[in-house]
Amino acid sequence: MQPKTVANNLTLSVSQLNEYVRRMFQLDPMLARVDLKGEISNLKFHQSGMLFFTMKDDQAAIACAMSAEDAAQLQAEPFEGMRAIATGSVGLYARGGRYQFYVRSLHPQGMGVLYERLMALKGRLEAEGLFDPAVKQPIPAYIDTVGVVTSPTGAVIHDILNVSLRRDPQARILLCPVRVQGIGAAEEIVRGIRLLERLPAVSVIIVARGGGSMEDLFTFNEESVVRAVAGCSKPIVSAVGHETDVTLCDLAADLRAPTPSAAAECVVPRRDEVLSRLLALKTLLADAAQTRLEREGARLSLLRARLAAQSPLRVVEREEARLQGLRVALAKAQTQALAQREALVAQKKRELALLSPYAVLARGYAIVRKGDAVVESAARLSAGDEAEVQWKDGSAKMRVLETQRKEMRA
Amino acid sequence: MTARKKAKPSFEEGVAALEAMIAAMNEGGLSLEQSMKTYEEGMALAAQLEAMLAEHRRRIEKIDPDTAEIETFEENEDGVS
Repeated sequence: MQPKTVANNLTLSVSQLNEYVRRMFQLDPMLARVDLKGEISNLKFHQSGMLFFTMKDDQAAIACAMSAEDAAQLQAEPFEGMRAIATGSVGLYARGGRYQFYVRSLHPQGMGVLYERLMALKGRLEAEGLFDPAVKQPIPAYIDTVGVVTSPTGAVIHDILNVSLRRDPQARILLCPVRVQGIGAAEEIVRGIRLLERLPAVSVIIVARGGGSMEDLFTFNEESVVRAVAGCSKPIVSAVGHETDVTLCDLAADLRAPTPSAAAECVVPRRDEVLSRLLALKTLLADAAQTRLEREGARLSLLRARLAAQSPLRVVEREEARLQGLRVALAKAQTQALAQREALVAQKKRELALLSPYAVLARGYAIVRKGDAVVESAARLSAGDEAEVQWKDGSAKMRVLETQRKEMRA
Repeated sequence: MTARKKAKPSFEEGVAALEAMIAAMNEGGLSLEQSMKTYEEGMALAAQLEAMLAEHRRRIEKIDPDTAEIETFEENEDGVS
């Protein structure tokens, strides 16, 4: 049997039919803007930035597509199983002849779900030891370059630069500009951390974002970001949101700073402090050397004194001194002996003088000589002899006229 | 401009070495000769560190995430998004 064609029936091409249906969807005001509630599945991020997924409930499903432009505006990256309200329009994808939902925006339904997921992830990563205080690296006291992963615009980088340059006017900052929210932000942040940690000049990394809603900060709870922070080979400081916001990124970092400014305070050493520390070290070094030298000097002079006491030279000196003493004593004795003898001689001279024949002259006597001989007897003289008579004050030559002899008594 | 690696020790390593030298000298375990040598080396190291500080010039730069090229960063150069 041949299928019957009904009279009045139009024969359409596939394109014509799809176009007709597409127009019907467009004309329906109800389908032009729908808030669609459901659960996301079959999530696919396309290279082009477009997003494809399925929205479903217990009984039904619908294919969803989101343009790259709209997807970039998403605050939090959607995930498999996320319950959400998708706002958009219903249309026909002519090529496939499929009707689908064109999503303009996507809102997670109820923060409770997000929070539950966050807590589950936290528990899992905690069990893995990603937040273990024991594996945290200290922030270095001296640094070369600070790597910063954040948005190139806005208050965050401004504050970090301000504080850093205030503490060290010669600070080195290397910014890796990233998006800090929305689709792809997590990936950029991970890439930024990996890029900076490979650079030898980078001593420490700051991952930062300004304050925002919990959804705004959600990127910093993404597993990939948290793992990149925890696994970073260089010390890493997290400053995400306001002081009261704590993200998993904060927990995984080596240090959590309450604000981006505080992060810069923690990371950039004050130049004047570094300079004075260096000066102090130099002083300590010089002191240590000085102390050592003084100690060695003191030891040396002590040794020298001890050695000198043992020296043969010292014995010689001692003997020399003794000898010198003897010499002095001898000289003294000699002088004394001489003086004594002089005194004796003087004494004897006086005694002799008393016995001198000349002494009688002083009393008025005279001595008679004939030639050289003293005439002590008249018998020695004869008449006509010449004789010399000596007085105390002079002498006179005389001729003997006659001699007389006195009778000698027996 | 991209590669900035140097074989010489970092400032922090230098300071740590200097501190270790001082500690060793104060401990008194070194011979006088070693001690004086350590002093000379320490002073040379301190001078090196001072030079490092002196040549540490301000650099505010950004790195291109795709090409890893580094160029000077000026605030707001990218405009406000």
